[in-house]
Amino acid sequence: MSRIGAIREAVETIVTAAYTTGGEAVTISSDPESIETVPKDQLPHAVILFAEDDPERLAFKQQRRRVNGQVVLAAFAISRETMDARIEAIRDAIFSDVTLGGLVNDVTAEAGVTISNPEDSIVYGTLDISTEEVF
Amino acid sequence: MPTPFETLYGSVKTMVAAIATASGATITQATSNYGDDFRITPGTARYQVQVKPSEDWPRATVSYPRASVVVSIHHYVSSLADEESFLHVTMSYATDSLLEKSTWQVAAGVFDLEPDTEPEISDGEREGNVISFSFTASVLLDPV
Repeated sequence: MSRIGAIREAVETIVTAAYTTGGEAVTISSDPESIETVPKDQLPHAVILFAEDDPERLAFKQQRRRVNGQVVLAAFAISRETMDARIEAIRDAIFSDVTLGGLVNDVTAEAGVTISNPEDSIVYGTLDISTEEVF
Repeated sequence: MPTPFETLYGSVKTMVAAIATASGATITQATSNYGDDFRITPGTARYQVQVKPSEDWPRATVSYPRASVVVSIHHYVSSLADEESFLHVTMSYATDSLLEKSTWQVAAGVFDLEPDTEPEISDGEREGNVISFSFTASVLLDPV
């Protein structure tokens, strides 16, 4: 498995566990359009995307490479507070192991929650994730 | 016959080797004494020695060759515990040795430190996984 695939899988495990702990199941995709097209009866749904930047050259022939990504959650008819708690739980789980099991040196994450259209009752949560590794 | 500066260069390398032996650390000389275009493997250290000749120092009728010496030690930190160990053991030995006037005085070819100067250590710097320290001293060499 590629390094970026391993990072994505580690985050996917955290997202799945966050829902399992709450007694729910979540569908997960890497297709960004799926967050808009997934049927309501298949919510909650998560999209996890990662991309790798060009490595940065450092002294002593080291390189720093960053993998940046985003987790987008969509849920039906829940409160903003509930989504906020879910996103925070995922962020806390990531910060409890900021190396993602040794895959990277460090992880940062920023969370946000939006309500798209009150009429469709879908609430979105986002978590921007940045990982870095020096090798 | 080596110049005093060549002798000093060899003496400083011997001083650093003694630090490595005393601390049990793996400190080997970098492939270049200048710049940072060399690799350091995790958990190991590299050192660089720069000797810069400067104007002779006159005392009475004798002129002592004078040199500015910079010893840089770079360590690849492979974990927080490794960094703690490096600071606690290797850098302690290096500091005790290279900031001590007598260390320089007993080095072959070194007559004394320049009067009114003391060896100094820089602040630590970190680049990626490598932390670096430098020691500087201005030394007077045996007259030729």
